[in-house]
Amino acid sequence: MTSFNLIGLFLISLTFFTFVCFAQEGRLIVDKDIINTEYPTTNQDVIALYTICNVGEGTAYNVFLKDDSWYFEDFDVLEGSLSAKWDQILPGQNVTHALVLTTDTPGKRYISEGKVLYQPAPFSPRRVSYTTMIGRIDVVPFSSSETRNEPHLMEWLGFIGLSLLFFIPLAIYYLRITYKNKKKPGKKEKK
Amino acid sequence: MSKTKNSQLDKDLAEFDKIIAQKLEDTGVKSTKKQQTLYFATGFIASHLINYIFITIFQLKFLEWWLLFIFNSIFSGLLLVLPLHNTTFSLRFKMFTNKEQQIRNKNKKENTDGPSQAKKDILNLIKKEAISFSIFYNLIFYIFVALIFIFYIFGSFEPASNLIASSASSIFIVGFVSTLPIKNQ
Repeated sequence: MTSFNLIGLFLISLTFFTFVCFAQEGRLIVDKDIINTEYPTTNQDVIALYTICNVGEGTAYNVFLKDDSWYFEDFDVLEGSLSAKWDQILPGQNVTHALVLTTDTPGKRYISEGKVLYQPAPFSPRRVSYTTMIGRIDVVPFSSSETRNEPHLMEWLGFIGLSLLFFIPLAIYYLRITYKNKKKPGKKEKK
Repeated sequence: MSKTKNSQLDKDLAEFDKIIAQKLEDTGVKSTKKQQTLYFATGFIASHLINYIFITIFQLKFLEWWLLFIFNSIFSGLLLVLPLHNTTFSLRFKMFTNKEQQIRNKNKKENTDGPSQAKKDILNLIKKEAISFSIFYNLIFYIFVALIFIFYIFGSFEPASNLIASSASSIFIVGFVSTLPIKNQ
């Protein structure tokens, strides 16, 4: 009897072990991006969007997103939070997380990657996946950004005025000389 | 026989060289210092139009970047002397060639290579016309090409780099075009 129990236990554990080893696993890829502007300015809302996609064949469990890169680059969170949690993400499913940030100080910033911790299968150890990097962004003062994006009509009128001031006398002189040059030679001898 | 033929050929070639040398001298193959100063001054003033764009539209502060603006103007003026002179000389040579027959008809007894009042008058007028046309055409072309480089080709550069790159590139293009032959009028 005991030998049968042992064999049964062995078979059950073997099945369980096989099931755990060859179970379908979840695999997450995460995209991080600023979606509302290409050139952020001071005191302007910057919307960061995280898109988590499960490209594996199994469910990902206990997904935890954490991103401190904004905090280290002097950005303040207006809406949302720098961390988020999902119990599970089914295979082929996308989830998103958005937050609204702002900053007071202009200058060059480097936004590095965030982290996502998850279990690719039940009872498996945690795996880390990194978000994409936004990289270097230049936060310009709001006033200079406004002036840079204006149509600058008065400046263009000034440029046209200065160009005319320079080229019109030249044009008049050239036309005068051409007219003199094209006069018939006989006219000069009529003194 | 062959010796006499060769000596006659050499004489003809020497005379032809003399005529060409005289023609080149009359049409100003070497620019005078006065002309060079005029070309430099007009190029210097025209480059200030480019500086104006960077100060007003690209918000480059004059007090921070004054050295860059001055260097840009001086180098643009210096480098524009060559294309301005090229265009002037090409035009003078072309116009003088066309008017040679007119000079010969006026002074049938005198040689066109020698000095004559009619030739001097015509050369003077040709010189003025060629210089004014060269300055007018080359500087308009320079500003047009510079605007294309500033807003389209180097538009994504930093403003200071944009200024240097677009100035240099537009002067290069103007210089290159000035070496092309002028079409027959």
